[in-house]
Amino acid sequence: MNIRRSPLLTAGTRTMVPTLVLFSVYLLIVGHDVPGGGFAGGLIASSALLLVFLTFGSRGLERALPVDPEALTGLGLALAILAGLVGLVFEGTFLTYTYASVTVPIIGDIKVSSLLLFDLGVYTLVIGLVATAVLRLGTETS
Amino acid sequence: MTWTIAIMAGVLFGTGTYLVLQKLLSRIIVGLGLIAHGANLILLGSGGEPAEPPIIEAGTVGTYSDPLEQALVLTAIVITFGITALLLALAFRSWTEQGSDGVEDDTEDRRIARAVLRR
Amino acid sequence: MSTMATLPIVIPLAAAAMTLIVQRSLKAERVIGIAASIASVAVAIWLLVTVDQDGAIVVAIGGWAAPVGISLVADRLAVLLLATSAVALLAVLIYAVSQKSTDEELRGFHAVYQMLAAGVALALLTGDLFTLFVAFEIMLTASYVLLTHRAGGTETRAALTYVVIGLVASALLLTAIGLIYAVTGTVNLADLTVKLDAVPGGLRAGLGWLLFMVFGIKAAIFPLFFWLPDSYPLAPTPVTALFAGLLTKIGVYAIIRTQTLLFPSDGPVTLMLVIAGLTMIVGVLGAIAQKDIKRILSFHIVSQIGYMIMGLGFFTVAGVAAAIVFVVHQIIVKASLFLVGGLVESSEGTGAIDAVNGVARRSPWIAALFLPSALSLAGFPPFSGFVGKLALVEAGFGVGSWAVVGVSLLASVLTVFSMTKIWGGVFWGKPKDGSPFPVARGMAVATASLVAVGLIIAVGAQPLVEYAERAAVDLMAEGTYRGLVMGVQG
Repeated sequence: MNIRRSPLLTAGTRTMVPTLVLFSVYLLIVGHDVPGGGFAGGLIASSALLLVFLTFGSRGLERALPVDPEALTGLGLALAILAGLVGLVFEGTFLTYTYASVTVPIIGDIKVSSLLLFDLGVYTLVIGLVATAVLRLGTETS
Repeated sequence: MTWTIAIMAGVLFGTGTYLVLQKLLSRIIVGLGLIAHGANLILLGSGGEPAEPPIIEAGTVGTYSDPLEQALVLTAIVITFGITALLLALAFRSWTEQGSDGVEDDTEDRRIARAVLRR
Repeated sequence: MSTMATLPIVIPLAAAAMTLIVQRSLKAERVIGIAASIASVAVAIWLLVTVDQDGAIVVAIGGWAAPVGISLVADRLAVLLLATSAVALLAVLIYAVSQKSTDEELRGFHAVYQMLAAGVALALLTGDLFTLFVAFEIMLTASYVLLTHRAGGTETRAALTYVVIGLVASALLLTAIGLIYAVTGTVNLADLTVKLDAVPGGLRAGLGWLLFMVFGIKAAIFPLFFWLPDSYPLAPTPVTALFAGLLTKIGVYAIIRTQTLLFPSDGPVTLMLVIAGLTMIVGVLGAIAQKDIKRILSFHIVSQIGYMIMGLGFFTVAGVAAAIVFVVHQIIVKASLFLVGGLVESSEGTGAIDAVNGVARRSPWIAALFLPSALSLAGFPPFSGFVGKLALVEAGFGVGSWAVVGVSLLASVLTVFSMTKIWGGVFWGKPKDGSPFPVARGMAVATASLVAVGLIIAVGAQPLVEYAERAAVDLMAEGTYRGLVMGVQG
């Protein structure tokens, strides 16, 4: 691929992508009680990936996401199911959420909810799905 | 359900149905999108007065809108989005393989029409 | 207990996740897929026995109790169909993996297949109208992928019809759900049984018929069946067998569930019986006009759906029980007939009746597999189709609906006629020279075991009929379902 890239796009992508990814992680973490969550976070992270794809092509996307996107989708689904099973084990019903308080030095008490695991699953799944779609549909074949 | 939403949904369903009956695949897909939007709008409008918001406690009803139908609409939008994307990919494949965007007449129909003409 | 009722959904979902993770290795995918299907069969059979003995199992997902949260309701009807569909899913999967040019060419075939299984299980178990919509979408989206992944130019066009019809039906279902939510303020089926009583009669009937029509598109009833014979035959054999056996029957299940629960009637519903009669006749006439095994069988799907709607239309315990027996019989027999059709195609190279001759001489074992299923479909004693049709006819006499019963008998005769067309055209006649193409052993074993299950249903007809009657009593008794669901706290 020898298409000349716009320097503006390249520079923009280089600055935007870290910000977008950071923001998506923020949304993922706060999602359990304020607007946000795994789906919104995942979409923002995948928009960062889309930006990478538009700027650096599918090679660039593969370098930025060095795992098989379909496996990532599977991993996300597996994490979400795992979160459901956590509820099953601790609370007796599938998908019931449970939480534990963890004391981290310096930061203090953090509530860790199985909801976060579910959101993480959704987050991973959305990224995997979008990356799969972009790579499959966006790559020129014969 | 407010009049605005009802009328909008009607317009979307009407134009969508018209487009779905066209012979170009791209129009059909746009039409499907409109129909789906109409359905979403009806779902969104369904959270009017007759429904009691299921999660908010009594007494705070006036200041909150019903969250359930918004969740339903969000789910529905995501699903429709996914299937529309699939449809577009299929239409693209049909276009690259057949070289046209048109929907042909049904082969069975044509066979019957020929049989009638021969008589 | 409640854990077991979630497993039919969780197992295929987890399997789908795992097959995606290990998809570098086809072997690992196969092992996971087949193991998950076997586990699903085991769980479903356990549920079948337990629910019958100890009563229905209700789970409030996420610990949210009934009107607010989503409930899974494993009652007799749900688990009976769950077990039947699990068996069909397993047999078809084994058939699919043992084909020479496999459907596994599609990357992620196993993941899609398991998602379809999860969608079917969710549709059967859910006690929530909107979740039913989501389940249908999971199932249909998986079916879109399975139908189109090998399609060429003309096939893509027919597949597009299927997707477009599916999308329109989904939008209408969504509209129906929106309207129901607007008038009642709930989408929980158990809650709706009471809330709908406050709705004026005309509005209620309108909502009822809207839902009937929407699920009727998915179930392919007259006059909404035209998409089916165009799209089903184009898919690879295992996929067609699965669609024919399962997808339309899940539509019928949704009709039976929503109509008996939400829109009960005191006597036979004439409009439903008219639709049933037309579905039977038009479907079977379409079958007679066709010249290809799979297309003939596809029109028979339509025709047979009419019998189920007829059973429901009587609106008596006997009628609904007969419809349930018929659905179980159809899932197994239809899937096995399509698999046999696939065996003919792969051993002879084509499924066109004019081009194939003398299979009974060339590969007698295929003929031996075809015969019991075909006779069963046509309703010959002692096969399972006879059991279902006899129950339907008796139920029809019970309410004095002579006309539609007469139509159903006529449709049966015509079914026999079109089956003899396949038999005479494909299995009899002078065999052509050369030996048939070899058929993979797994395909034969899968087909044979599904045919055997059909025979078991015929032999064990008495327990099945009694079970279906208990399920129908549950369905027809007002308040049973509500009592089950609303009593359960998270």
